[in-house]
Amino acid sequence: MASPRLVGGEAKDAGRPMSSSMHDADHETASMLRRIGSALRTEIQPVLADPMLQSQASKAAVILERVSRELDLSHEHHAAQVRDVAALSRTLADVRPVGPAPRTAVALERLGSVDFRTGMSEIVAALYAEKNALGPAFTVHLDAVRATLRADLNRRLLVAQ
Amino acid sequence: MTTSTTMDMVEQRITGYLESRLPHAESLTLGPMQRNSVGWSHETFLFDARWLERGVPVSRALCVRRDPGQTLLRDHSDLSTQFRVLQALDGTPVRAPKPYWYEADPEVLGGPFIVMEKVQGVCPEPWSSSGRAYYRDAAERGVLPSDFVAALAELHTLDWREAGLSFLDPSSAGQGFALAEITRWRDLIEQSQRPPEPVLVDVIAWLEEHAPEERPGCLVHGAYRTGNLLIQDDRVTAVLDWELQSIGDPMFDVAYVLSDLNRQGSDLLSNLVPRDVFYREYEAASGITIDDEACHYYEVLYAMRTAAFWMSACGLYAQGASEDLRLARTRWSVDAVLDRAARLIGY
Repeated sequence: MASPRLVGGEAKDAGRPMSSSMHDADHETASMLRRIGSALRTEIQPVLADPMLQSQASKAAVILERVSRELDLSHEHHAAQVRDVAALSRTLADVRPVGPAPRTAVALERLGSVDFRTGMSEIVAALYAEKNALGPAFTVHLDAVRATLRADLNRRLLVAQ
Repeated sequence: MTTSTTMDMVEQRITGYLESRLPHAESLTLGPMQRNSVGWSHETFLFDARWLERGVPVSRALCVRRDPGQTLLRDHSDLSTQFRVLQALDGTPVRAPKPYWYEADPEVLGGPFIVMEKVQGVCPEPWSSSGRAYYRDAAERGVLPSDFVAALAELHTLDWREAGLSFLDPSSAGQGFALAEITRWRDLIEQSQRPPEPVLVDVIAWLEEHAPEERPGCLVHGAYRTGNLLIQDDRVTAVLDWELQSIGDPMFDVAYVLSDLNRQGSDLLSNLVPRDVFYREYEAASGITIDDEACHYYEVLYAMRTAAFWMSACGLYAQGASEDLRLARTRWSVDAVLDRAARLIGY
């Protein structure tokens, strides 16, 4: 098997702290985006003559609605990610590999200090790369990692669907 | 510049190009031009060309397929390859448009293009309500479902070496089919420069671990479904969209047909074919036994490929290479397809 690589680039929002004033500002921004999206859909789109522009206005409205939902939920989702990563780290710390698995160890150490997607990508790649060294711990680790990823996917789907 | 001005210019340039390719043509004119597929992939222009050749009127229905640059597949689809494939298929039982010319010079039409036969038929969109009704009615008549299967079997039983398609064979570069596909779509993901996706890392590692044993390769279309087929009188007149083809496992196409990706909730495969009919008629016509385990594997591979498509699309927008908001919207489609991929591998 080829060594798994990370897919995509580095995320830029690693471990950002949140203040309550930022929460308020984000909710206000989300509310404005929702209103702009609504205006695009109900006031601007209907008066556009060009079907191509109508379609673009419709897509813009959808995008603004999703971005506003993402902003509204961002603090809640970020807090959940932090909780999930901490729980995952505790779970994985109790499962010993049968042999040396340095890449997995490093990825585990970094989990809390890099952004969620980067950290989780690193741990998944490390697990597959060191599958033999991990022995039975591979499955235990992967199951725990997948449970964390599933919880995150479910949160993302609240925005995407 | 308005759309009509652009179309006028395209018409003028195509007319000039055809005159250069048809030195005996006099008084060459083009009929009304229909433009399709703007934004996602190659653009197509459909029209009738009429001219006099030594005083005799000639008419030919033509299709120009142009690469506008920065399509969703980026450099993983190029028209010179499509042209070679269509040339190789010309004269074989595979139903494909007859190719005429490939033009690499972007000065002519703003990007490379091919000129090919405009095959008679319609191509209803299976995701539209009218398209779904069209295929549902055709399914009740029963002729088109069988022809859909027959056209796929023709592809899979083609002697591709004899046809001159060996250049599509990934094993000539020392790679198996499934791993070559993974490499292809991982390259596209990396080109897209999107944030890391841990589910995708997992899916790709799973795919690398579970690649099925190589079976005798065949010509694989890569997107065989309604919506990529021209139809007339309940017959498939041409298989379209030769962008994703390879030499590989026939189960790759079979999995696409069996998948619920392309049937919008219908019980009918590709909105058209009852499942039992597909199994029975495909195996009889091709002599190939359907391998459900391999099909499951390829469904996961399709999920990875679709994720790559959407990441490429929203990446094009994020990189400023496109102003089309349809591409921007696919940022959230990535999450939906990752959800699908995760479920397919067990979580």
